[in-house]
Amino acid sequence: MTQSIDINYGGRVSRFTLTLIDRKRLHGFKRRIALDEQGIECNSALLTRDGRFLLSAGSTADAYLDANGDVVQRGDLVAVDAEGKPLPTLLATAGRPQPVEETATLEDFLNHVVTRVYLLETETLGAVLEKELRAGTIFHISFRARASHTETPAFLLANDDGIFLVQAEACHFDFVGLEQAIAETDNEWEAEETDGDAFAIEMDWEIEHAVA
Amino acid sequence: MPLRKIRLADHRGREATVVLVPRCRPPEPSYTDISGAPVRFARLVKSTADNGHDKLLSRFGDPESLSRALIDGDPEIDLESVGRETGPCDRVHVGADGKPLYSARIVEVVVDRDGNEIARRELVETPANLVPDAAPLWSGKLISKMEAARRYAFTRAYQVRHTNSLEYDFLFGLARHLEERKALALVGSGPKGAGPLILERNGTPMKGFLEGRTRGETYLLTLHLAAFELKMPEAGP
Repeated sequence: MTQSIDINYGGRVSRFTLTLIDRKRLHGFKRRIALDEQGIECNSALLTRDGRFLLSAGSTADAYLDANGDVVQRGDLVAVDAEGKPLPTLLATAGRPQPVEETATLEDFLNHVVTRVYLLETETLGAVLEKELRAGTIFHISFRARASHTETPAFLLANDDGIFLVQAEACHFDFVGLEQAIAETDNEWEAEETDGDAFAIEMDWEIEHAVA
Repeated sequence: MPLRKIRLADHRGREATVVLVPRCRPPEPSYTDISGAPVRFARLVKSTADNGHDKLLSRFGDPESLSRALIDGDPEIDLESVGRETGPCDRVHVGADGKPLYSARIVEVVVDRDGNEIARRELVETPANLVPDAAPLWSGKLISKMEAARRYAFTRAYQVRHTNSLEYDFLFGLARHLEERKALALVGSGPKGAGPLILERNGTPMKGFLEGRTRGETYLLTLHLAAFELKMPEAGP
């Protein structure tokens, strides 16, 4: 399904359709597969630790259980923050013109990592917005492909190749001084994000599983 | 969790192996039921290999008999196992007979941007190159923050930190140098220090850029890693 976004800037609404781009779409990719002794591609499956069940793609179900072990229907789930307070549901932005919130400084933009990039195809583009984008201005905007409980930062920018909508996550890095030397084996850090290609086989299984 | 390290050179010809700190990821929301009682996520068994289509077909002989059996009963459901929590699992490769393989040959498949397989070859392990044996070189390539932000998709970022006072001097000087030039420095591998960085074994090669800021005697030095450029995909043939 084609996604679109309407952006209101300077009283003029610009409309774009979104095309997701990523490294795979730009350059292709490599993946690793396993072959048996006849050279036939193997499937991947989960083996329970007791060895009792071999679970191929599509043979498991994800569920939320209450204290009694009963399944809680998705519609009855309430998202809460770390203190247990219910989080509001933020509606998807499609179909509603999104005002440009503010311009982003380069430092602000570089305080984030990119999580998703969309190439925007212009249906209508306001002259003022176009001028600002061509001049290198980066805008904060609201964009949610679907309803969500958390706000995802998004930026609108342009270069010679086109106009892009970039979804991002904040890094939360802070300045450090001489006294803030870090231990090389510090254990306070969470498990790191790792590269997708290194786990292509696992990812394939997850994708198959999700589709199933 | 041990932290990654990187061997960096600076504009003064000095070099040091310093620490990369990953970003703090935002917490995922947790869930309760409508009464406010906490719920927990679980992965449940829905079906097993013994009750899959292929096994049932071989048990009943032909599709007609299998259809009849499905109407008359529930041979696809193993009442002993369905609904159980899987608990921790190991990922295994499964052969054509549906049994786990004890050894498999891993090959690498190259796929073009249209999703077509274009090559299949033996797997070659590519090591990470953040800490090379030879001293790294300062590439000297600076790119303005404006151009970098609008040209690259920085999909990963690490804060470069010191473990002692000598490294502090080194990193603070580097951060100040970059801040004064309002630019990011290309850091990379190879003889010119401009090649791609590979963060983990068999990882995706990425372009690395250092960004520096200072505030008084403190500094913020960030390694931005670009997985791809912001550009239009080329049209297929």
